[in-house]
Parts: sequence; C-alpha cells; structure tokens
Amino acid sequence: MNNLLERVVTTLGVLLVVALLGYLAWTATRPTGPPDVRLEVETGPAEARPGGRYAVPLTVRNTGRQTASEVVVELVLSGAGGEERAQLSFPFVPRQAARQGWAEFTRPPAPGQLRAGVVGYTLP
Amino acid sequence: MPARPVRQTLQEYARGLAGGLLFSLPLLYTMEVWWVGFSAGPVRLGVAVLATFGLLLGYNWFAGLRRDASFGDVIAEAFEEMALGLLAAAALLWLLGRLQGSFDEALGKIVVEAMTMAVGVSVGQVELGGDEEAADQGTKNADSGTSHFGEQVVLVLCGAFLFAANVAPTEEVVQIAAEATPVQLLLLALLSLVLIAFVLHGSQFRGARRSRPFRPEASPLEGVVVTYAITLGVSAFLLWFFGRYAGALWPMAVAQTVVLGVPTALGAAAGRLLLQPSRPDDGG
Repeated sequence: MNNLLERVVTTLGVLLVVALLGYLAWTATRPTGPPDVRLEVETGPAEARPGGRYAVPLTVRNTGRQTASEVVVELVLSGAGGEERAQLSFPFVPRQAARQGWAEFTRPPAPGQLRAGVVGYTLP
Repeated sequence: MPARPVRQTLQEYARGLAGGLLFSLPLLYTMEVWWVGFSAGPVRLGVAVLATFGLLLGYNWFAGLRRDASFGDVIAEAFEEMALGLLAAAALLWLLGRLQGSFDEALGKIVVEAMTMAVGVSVGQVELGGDEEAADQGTKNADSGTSHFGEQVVLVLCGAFLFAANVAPTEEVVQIAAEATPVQLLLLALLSLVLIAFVLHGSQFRGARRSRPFRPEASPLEGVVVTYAITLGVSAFLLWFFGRYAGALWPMAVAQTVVLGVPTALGAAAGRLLLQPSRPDDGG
C-alpha cells in the first residue's frame, strides 16, 4: 500500500512526465524549414573603462528555433577618429536565447557611427 | 496490507537521491551535457524519456525494492522515480547556475540530467539499502530453472547505462575513435569481451556465484557474447542521443561505438553481478 507522500510524488511524476512528453511532442510537430537561426545584435551605450577605453555592451539574440554555434559578431566604429573594428565569438547561442558580450574601443561611439552584425555561425 | 510509514518512504527517497547523485553528479558538471540540452531536438529528448521510463519499469519489476508489488505498483514507482529525478536535476542545475536562457534550453538540460538521476534513484533505493529491508522482501521472480533473459537484460542495461552515461557525452570518445587504427579497435573490442568474461567468471566479484545465465544451460561464452551485444546497443544508443552519429560515416560510427563499448562493457558486466536482486535462497 502506498502512503500519502508516495501518492503525492507519484501523481507529481505522472503530471511531469505527461506534461513533458506533451510539450516535446508539440514542439516536434511545429513546422520546420531550412536552418532556423535568426540572430540579432543589439548594442547599448558605451561605458568608460580605465585606460581610456570604452566598453560597448552587446546582446546577440537567437529568435530562431535552432541553436547556432561559433557565432562571430563584428563591430565597426567609423567616423572622424578613423575606423576601429572589434570581433567577438560566442561558442553557442541557443534557440530562443540571448548571450551578452562587450566590445572595447578607444573612443565612445557617436550616434550612427557604430555598426554591429553577425559575420557567421555553424550548426552544432 | 498496511501502508508503509512515511518515515520509511522518506528514507527510501533519501537513499534514492544519494544513488541518483552518485551516478549523475559527474554529468551535471560536464559542459558537453549542457550543450546536448539545447542541441538535442524534442524527438531525441522524448525518446530519452521513454527509454528511461522503460528501463525504470524493467528494473523495478525484476529487481525493485517492492518486489511483492503488482505491475500497477511498478508503474507508480517508475513515475515516483521520474518525479524525484526531474525535481532533483532541476534543483541542482539551478544551484549550479545552469538554468539561464530560454525555457526550451533549460528544459533540455533538465531532461538530459534527470534521466541518469532517475535510474540512479531507482538503483540507489535498492543497492544502498540496509540488510533489514532486504530480509523481508518477497520475491516473485525467485523461481529457478526458468529463463532469466528479461531480468539479466535489464541488469546489463542499467549497469551499462549508469556507467557509460558519464563517458558518452565527452569529446574524447570522438577523438579516440578518429585516431584509433583498425588493429587498435579490434583489440579494444577484444578487451571489452575479456573484461566482461573476467568480471563475470574470473574475479570472484560479489554476486558472481549466484549470477543467473540469460537462459538455462547457456554456456559462459554465450553469456559473455550476449552481454557484449547489449553493451554495443547501449553504446550506440548513447552516442546517437549525444549526437555523435550526426554526419559521421559508418566506419567512424562503428569506431566510436567500439571505443565507448569498453567502459560500457565494464558497467554491463558489473551491473549483472552487483545490481542483481537479493533472493531468499542466497543463504545470507
């Protein structure tokens, strides 16, 4: 005979397993196409750092349904002070997830001077 | 029959969780396993859940703590162990700071970790228990002279799975397989067979004398070969689950299966002896 605790845990197990399999079945039947990786890069305002450098926070977000690996993001700062480039790589940007990074420049970017974008990625 | 006291249930859960941690903690600290959580699609995760549930049913039926139980009780027990496995895996991943990111990503990690945890819970409840409980166990499968194929297969699967799950996700398996020469692979396969034979028959392992063959009057050689065959199956399943066959040509797939087969074989043979249920005719 099972006591109350065992009945509660068993019921919980049934609910968890059924919900889990149901959810997985539902995600499996959603339509799939070609590699569904949708990467967006978003930069924030630069912050001053010691040594006269400026760190630009950036978020790379994957709104697709597949995980991207070895994601390379490039930032180009143009303008009067000459062109500066920064490159970041992210081992993984999972589906429906975001990763953060920082790029450092020798001057703060003026509005419209900074371009950021994904250069490439692989599928894991 | 009166209900078990809650105290006893709590002790069983504590023992089960200790067993679950024993086998799955290395996985929780392994980066490749976190990656599988988000690179494995819903189909692979679903298959893993079903396979684990099947293994729990088999183990509980043949060797479980409540062997006087009906099949309904065995199913209920499997759900209990799934609940403990999922909750413990989720709690630990959260503690280790691994549940950041999206819902799908977190769920994948929890499922991967929870499966080993659940099997560990099941085995831990039985194997880490004291003697006083083993003594009052009823056994419904104690009849001798019949085929023990199902029971032995389940023991091999549990031992192989628990032991190999910690090795299968590592990149090292791929690297060894890629660099091994055909002669080395052949020797690795032979080593696996020798390990199985040695553990089962040559080493006076605990439980070696009361170990039962797959079928009555099976020769020792047959036992070794069948154990290795199941070992290769487990090895192949784990490699498939961890995505190691994706894009691999068949020689590479075979090489990986053989390479992972060595630790898996050891777990399989040890599992057959160490995980076998206690029987009243053991004489203590």
